[in-house]
Amino acid sequence: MGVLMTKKAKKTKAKKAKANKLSRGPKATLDAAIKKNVSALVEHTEVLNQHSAALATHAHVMLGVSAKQLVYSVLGEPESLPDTTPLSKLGFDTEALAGLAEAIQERGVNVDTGLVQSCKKVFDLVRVVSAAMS
Amino acid sequence: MFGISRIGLAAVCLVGLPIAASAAPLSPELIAQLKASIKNDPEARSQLQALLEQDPKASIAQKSKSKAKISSGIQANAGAEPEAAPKPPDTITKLIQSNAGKIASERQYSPCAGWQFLLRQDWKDLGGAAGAACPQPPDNAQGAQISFANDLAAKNRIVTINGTAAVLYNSITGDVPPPTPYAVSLGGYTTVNSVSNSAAAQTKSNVDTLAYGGLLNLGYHGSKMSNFFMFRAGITEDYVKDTTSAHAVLDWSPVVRRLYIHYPYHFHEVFGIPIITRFDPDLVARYDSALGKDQILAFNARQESVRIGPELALTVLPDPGYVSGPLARLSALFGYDIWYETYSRKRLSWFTSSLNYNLDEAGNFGIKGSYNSGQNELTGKATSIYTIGLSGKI
Repeated sequence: MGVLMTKKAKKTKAKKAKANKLSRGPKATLDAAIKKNVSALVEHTEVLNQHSAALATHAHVMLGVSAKQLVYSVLGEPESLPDTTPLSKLGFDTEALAGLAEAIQERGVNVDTGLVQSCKKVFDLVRVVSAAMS
Repeated sequence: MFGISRIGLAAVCLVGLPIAASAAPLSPELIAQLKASIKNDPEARSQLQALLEQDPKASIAQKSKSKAKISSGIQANAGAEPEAAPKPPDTITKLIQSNAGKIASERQYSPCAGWQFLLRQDWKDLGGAAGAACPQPPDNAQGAQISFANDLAAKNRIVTINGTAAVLYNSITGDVPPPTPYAVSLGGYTTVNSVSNSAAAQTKSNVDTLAYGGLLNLGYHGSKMSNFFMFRAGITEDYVKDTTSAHAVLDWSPVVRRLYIHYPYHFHEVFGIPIITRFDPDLVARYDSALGKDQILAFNARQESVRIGPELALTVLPDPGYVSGPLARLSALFGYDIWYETYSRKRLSWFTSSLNYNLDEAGNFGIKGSYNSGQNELTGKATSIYTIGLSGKI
């Protein structure tokens, strides 16, 4: 009985050792696998970063477009109007620009009255709104 | 709406896709070089960061610049093409950048913020905008003058002193709740004008006046309306003629956008007429005095006058979004001031109208016709006059 038990135990031990050996493999193979993984991860991260940059640019472009939309909507002008048009040609003097700031704020964009009053052209206003939205 | 979305998507395709498309085939070496070129070049990095702060058009331009810069960085050792100097940020960009992250009361938008001391030959009109009553730069202004002349032929020595000393404070902060004004202009001045002749025959041309005064402009921002107050006052003492004249003006200018008070109204939106109008009603109180022998005011034939009443102005402009060509160069201005003169208890009025046509796109040359009628608001002189003329500035 004692002999049988010993043989069984030996067999189990040998099986376990074999399994461990198989799972670990040779050290060189393991290192190569890790390197490959790290390299893939680095490459993946780089591609991810580039996609993030593209996404940020996308968001920025969309933001710019929506800022422009908002400004032209508040001004009551068609978007075919060049953004180099002076705000004075649209009837805005320094005090009227305070009203324009209020109209932009009413749309949920927090712009300072003083900053809007510094704008000379439609283009300036789009920039101010775009900065406030970002 | 759809047009805008399409423009936006087209812009995204232009800007976003090349990056995404180029992402997959990039080798790790190229990516490492790309990263290094951005890391080692703060300008390229700042240009990329600036993308989020620039306008869409500029961002696309900047983007292509940045891309050019990155690619030049990759080919750095091969001696890349010369880099274009970065464009200095304009006023709006500077204002946005300098005020980023500050609380409202610490933001500053005045073009001439803070205290300034001026020494000039005379007191120029500084402009009425609260917080932006900025003086002309010294190179465009005449300085104070003290001079001595000895006319040997006439045996006359002439001493002339002509100068204005002024102190000004301007500030435009972020939107702070009333009663704190967001825009402030504050200032005072004194002007000395003296011409002294030593020859007895020339003493009649002596001048000796002293003028002093000040201004206070305040701007208040509110969610329903904004209010602007302007106070200016000045006294001139003539020691040769022994007279004193004084004037003061208090002006309240409200901006109520919902009622189109001091806010442009687009007729095109409702009536389909491509015209913009702006109605500016101000409430004004004016005080004038002329003290001394034979000194009376034209407003009421007395030595003092206080006039209170509304000053109404209507500006009519073609809507540049719907009008182009010669018609876009027309503009008209109508003004009607009604005062109640408190000393004589009379009603006075002053009507002005003008029609302008710019001969060139920039508005350097133009034809102007005007008609003024009533009692001049500054002198009180009864007037009824038509004027037509050519104007030019280069």
